[in-house]
Amino acid sequence: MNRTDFPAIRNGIAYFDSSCVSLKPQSVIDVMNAYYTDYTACAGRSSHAWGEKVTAEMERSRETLAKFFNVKSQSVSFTRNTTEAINIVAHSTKGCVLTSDKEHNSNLVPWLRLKNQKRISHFILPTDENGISMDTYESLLSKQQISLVAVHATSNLDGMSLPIKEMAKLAHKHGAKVLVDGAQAAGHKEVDLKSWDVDYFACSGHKMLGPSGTGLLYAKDPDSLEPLMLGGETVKETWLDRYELEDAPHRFEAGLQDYAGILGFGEAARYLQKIGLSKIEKHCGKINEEITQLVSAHGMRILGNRNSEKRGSITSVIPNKMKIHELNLMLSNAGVYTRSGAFCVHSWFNKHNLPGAVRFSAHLYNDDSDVEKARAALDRIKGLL
Amino acid sequence: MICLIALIVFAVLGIFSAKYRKLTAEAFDCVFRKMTFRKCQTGLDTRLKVQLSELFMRFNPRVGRFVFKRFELLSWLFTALFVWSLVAAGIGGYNYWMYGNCNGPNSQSFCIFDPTGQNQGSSGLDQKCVVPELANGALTLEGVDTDFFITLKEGKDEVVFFGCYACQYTRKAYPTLRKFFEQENVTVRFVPFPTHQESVFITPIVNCLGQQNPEKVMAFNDLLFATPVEELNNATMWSALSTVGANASDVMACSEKNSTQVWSALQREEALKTGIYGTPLVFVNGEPAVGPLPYRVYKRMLS
Repeated sequence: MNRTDFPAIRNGIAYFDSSCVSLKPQSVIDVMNAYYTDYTACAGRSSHAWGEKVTAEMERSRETLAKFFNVKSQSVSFTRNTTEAINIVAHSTKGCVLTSDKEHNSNLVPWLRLKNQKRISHFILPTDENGISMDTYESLLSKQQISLVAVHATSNLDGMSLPIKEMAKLAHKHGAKVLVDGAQAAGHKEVDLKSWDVDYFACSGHKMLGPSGTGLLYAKDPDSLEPLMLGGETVKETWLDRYELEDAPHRFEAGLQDYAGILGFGEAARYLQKIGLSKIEKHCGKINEEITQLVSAHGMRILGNRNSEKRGSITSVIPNKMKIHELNLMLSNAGVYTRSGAFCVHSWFNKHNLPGAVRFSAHLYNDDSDVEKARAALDRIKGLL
Repeated sequence: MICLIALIVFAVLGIFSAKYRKLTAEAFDCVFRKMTFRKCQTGLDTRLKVQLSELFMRFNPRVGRFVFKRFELLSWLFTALFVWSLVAAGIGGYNYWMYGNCNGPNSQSFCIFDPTGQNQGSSGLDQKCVVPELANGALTLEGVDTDFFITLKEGKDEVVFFGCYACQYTRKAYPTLRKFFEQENVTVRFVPFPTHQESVFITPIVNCLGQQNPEKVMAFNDLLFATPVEELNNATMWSALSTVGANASDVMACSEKNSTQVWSALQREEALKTGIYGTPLVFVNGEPAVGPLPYRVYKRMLS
C-alpha cells in the first residue's frame, strides 16, 4: 500500500515502530520544504504575500484536521504534541480524575502532579486482556464523583482500544467530562469526535504520518480551559496593567508556531483521508495478524488479548529466554525496527512486575515483505527466544 | 564482565579515535555501576553481547547461538584470561627492564618487547664441534678459580666477561660492555672463550698478552672486536699487538709455547665449571647474564 511514498524505507527496512513515530510520505516532506524554500513567513501577523499564504495554509491545515476528526475548526488548537494538549486540560482541572491503569506517562504524570499538589483526587480504572469492565467504570463514576475521565482511545502498550463512545455517554450521565488521549488511534482508524461526543481530544502529528513537534487539542467548549502559556498571538490587546485574551483556538497557541510542521500535519491528514482510514485499519489489522501468528509460533508471550483484531496494529511480546533489548537489537541488526522497553507506560509494567516488552507496531506502509523479514530474523535466532 | 574488557580495549582505541572515547565513557559507567552493585544503564553490555553473537552467527549460526547462550560465562572466562594476560604482560615488562628479556633472566625464548631478539642470543649451543661439553646447567662462579682469568681493571664490584672474538653476539654486546667497564667502578676479568673455530687460535695469544701486559688487553680487545671476523688471522694479531704497544714477537712466541697451551686448556676447564653454554656470558657480582643486554641490566646488578 503506497510503500514507495515513504522515502525512509526505500532501503528495505522493515519499520515496525510506528507507535513511537510514523514515517512521513514524500508529500508531507514536500509541503514542509515548500514553506522553508518558497514562503517562509509568520502567520497572522505579516500582511505581505508570503505572510498571507502561511496564514491561509495554516488555517487550511486546521480545517483539514477538523474535518478529519469531524469537528469545527474553531475547536481545534495546535500544540507541540499530545502531552502538551493533555497538560492544557490538566491545567484547568479540579475535582476527581479517573484514568485507566494503562495510560502513557503523558496522561498519568500530569494528574499525579496535581494529586501531589492536592488539587485533584486521582482514581484508577483497572484493565485486563479484555479491556475494562463497564460496571466497574460506572461504579467509579458514581461513587467517586468523577469530574473528568482521562483515558486513551488505543493503548500504545498493547494496541487495545477502549469503548470511548460508551464511556463518554456514561461519563456525561454522571456529570463527568471526558478527555481522550488519541495519539495511538488517530491515523490508524476512523476517529469521529462528533459521534464519540467527548469533551477533549488530544493527538500528535508524528504518529499519523505528520512531522514531529506537532499535535492538536480539540475542546468542545474551549472557554472551559485556561491557556497553559500566554504570549504572542494569545491576546487581542494588552495594556501595561491588563490584557484581553484572544478567542479560541488562537489563545492556546502561544508564540511563533511551527508553521512548516503544522502545514505538514495538515498534509498528512489529507494523505490519510485520500487513502481512507477504514482501508488503513484493515491493512494494519492484516499485518498485525501475520505478526501475531509469527510471534506465537516462536512461543513468545503477547501482551493484551491474544486475538489480533482486538489489538489494532500493535503486538507487544515478551520473549521467554532472551531479554527484550537483546531481541530488539537482534531484530534491528536484521533490518527489522521494533521498540523495546516500557513504552512510557512504566506504571503498568511495574504493577505487573514485568521488565518491558518488544513492540511491533504497523502502519499503512508495512507489507508482507516486512513480515517475511521479521520471520527470517526470528527464525535465525530460534531457540534463543 | 564484558564491560571491563570493553573499557580497557576502548580506552586504548580511544587514544587513536574519538568515536571510541564515547564507548569508553559508556564502558566506564557500566563497570562503575556494576562495581557498586547496580545495573548497567548504558546498554553497552547488551549491545556487545548481541553484536558479538551476531558476528559468530554470520559464520556459523550454531556457534553464534552458543556464544549468545553462554555469553556471561564466556565473558568471565575472557575477563580471567585478560587479567591473566595483563599480569603476564606486567611480569614480562618487569623482566624486560630487569633482565633485558621478558621471559626472565637469560631466557632464549621469544620476547614481544624484543621481537628481533636484540637482547637475546649467544653462540655456543649451535657450535658443538668447538665446545661439545656445553650444557644447560646453572650458571655460577662458585668453585671457579678466577686466577686463570685476565684482570683488565680493578674496582669495587666484580665483573667476569666470557667472550668469543668471532661470536656475533659477543661482538654485539661488546660496545655496551666496554662502556660499562669504563663508566662503572668495577673489577673486570676477561675470559677468551672461543665458540667459533675462527677464534680458537687467538686464545693463547690474548692469554700471553694478559700475562705480559694485562693493561693492554682492553685496547687489544677493542681492536679485535672491531675487526671483521674473516680478517681475524695471524697478520691481524701482529698488527693489533703492535698497535697496543705490546712486543708482538714475544707475545706470539709465548702463544706457541706448550705451557701456554696447557694454561689455556686449564682456563677453559675453569670456564666450563661455570656452566657456560654460550657467549657472551657476563657475571656481575656473581649474577649471570647471557647475551647482548642493555646497559641498564648490567648496571642493575651492581651493588
